[in-house]
Amino acid sequence: MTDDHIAMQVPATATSSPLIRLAAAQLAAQCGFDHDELEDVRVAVSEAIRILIGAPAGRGGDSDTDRPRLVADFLVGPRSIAAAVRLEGGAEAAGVDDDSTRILEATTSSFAIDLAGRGAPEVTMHFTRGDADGDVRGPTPEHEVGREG
Amino acid sequence: MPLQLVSTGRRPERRARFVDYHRNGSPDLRERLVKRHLPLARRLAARFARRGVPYEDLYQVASIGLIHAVDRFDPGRGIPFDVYAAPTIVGEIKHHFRDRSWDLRVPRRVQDLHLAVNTAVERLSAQLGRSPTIGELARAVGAADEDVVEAIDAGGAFNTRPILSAVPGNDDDRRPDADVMLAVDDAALDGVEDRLMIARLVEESPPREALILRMYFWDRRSQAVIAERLGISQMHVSRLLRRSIDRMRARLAIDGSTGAAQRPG
Repeated sequence: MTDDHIAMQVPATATSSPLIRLAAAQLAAQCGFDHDELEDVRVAVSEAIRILIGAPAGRGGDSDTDRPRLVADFLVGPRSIAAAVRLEGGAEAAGVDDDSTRILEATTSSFAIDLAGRGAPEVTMHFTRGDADGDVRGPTPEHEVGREG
Repeated sequence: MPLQLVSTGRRPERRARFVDYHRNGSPDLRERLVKRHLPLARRLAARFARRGVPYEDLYQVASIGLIHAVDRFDPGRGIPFDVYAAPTIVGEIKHHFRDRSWDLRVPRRVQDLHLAVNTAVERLSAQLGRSPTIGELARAVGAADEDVVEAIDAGGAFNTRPILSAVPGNDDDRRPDADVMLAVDDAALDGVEDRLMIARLVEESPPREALILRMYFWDRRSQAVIAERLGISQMHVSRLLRRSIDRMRARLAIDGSTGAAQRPG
């Protein structure tokens, strides 16, 4: 079975970014994630958006709507979702704070934050569905942080 | 049926404790007075249950009302403490209901479904012993899967006053001092004194629950602040905390029955 690739793009604003979170939650539901796992996906995607644009998803107002944009790519497998959210349009990412890493550790199977690479600032996350033999979620040694702050 | 109040204020030794507390302001005595009257907070919270707010939230709010009542009660006026405290506690609960409001952009049907899903999550989690799937929730509330997901996602738009900030002397962004909240904390972690033991239990919790426990107990953030930081509803934070604490208590009971030798430190 091949993975499904879903891509979306929204203005990098506090009112548009929840669409990415909602899409991620819908994909998690389709992938069979349970309620707790789906909430993890929502929390992690919200945090990724916060790292990139500085406002928690769904809160705050818009000041300017048509320049930077958030691009989200989801690769949906039978038991897992890989998500990449990046800030395009030349804008600088807001950056990580003290909570960012521990939130992503707690809610993803693995993640990487790349704010200093040659491309657009990006947060990638991997979510794995728990199974009957035990929950395989949790922090792994794969974490990478491109640049703090 | 009217609530039956058990008057304790007329008993001289109990009134003497209030007199003593108001004379010297002892935190220990305050804690004992609060703990002694927690059953009153529990009964009053139960009266407001099943109105869309989890009982545990209401109990927490009622406990804060009780703390206010202990602080403000004047034993010299000759009325029993319970008679004085009940309206204060009920007032706190009513404030809580009034201060909870939805973002106006969230349609009413989503608000209603959000509350129904929350109730179903609690019920099914208890029944199944695990987190329910979206399909199970959808069947329980009679809605489509995508509507359930939308309702879950709407949780971040449910605004709540930070419950624990209601204690005097504390700003809105931080949890109250440990001494002030000791009664509530003790109610949740009754009999747990070994912080090393708690730290170990927190580490053994599922990652997101461990994160929330650390934010709550170590960082001393209010449930509302945690909810906002994580983009989830305060109701959900409250439920996760409760579930974590219940699990920790169960683990403590098991460890206790297999011997204290397992305790670290």
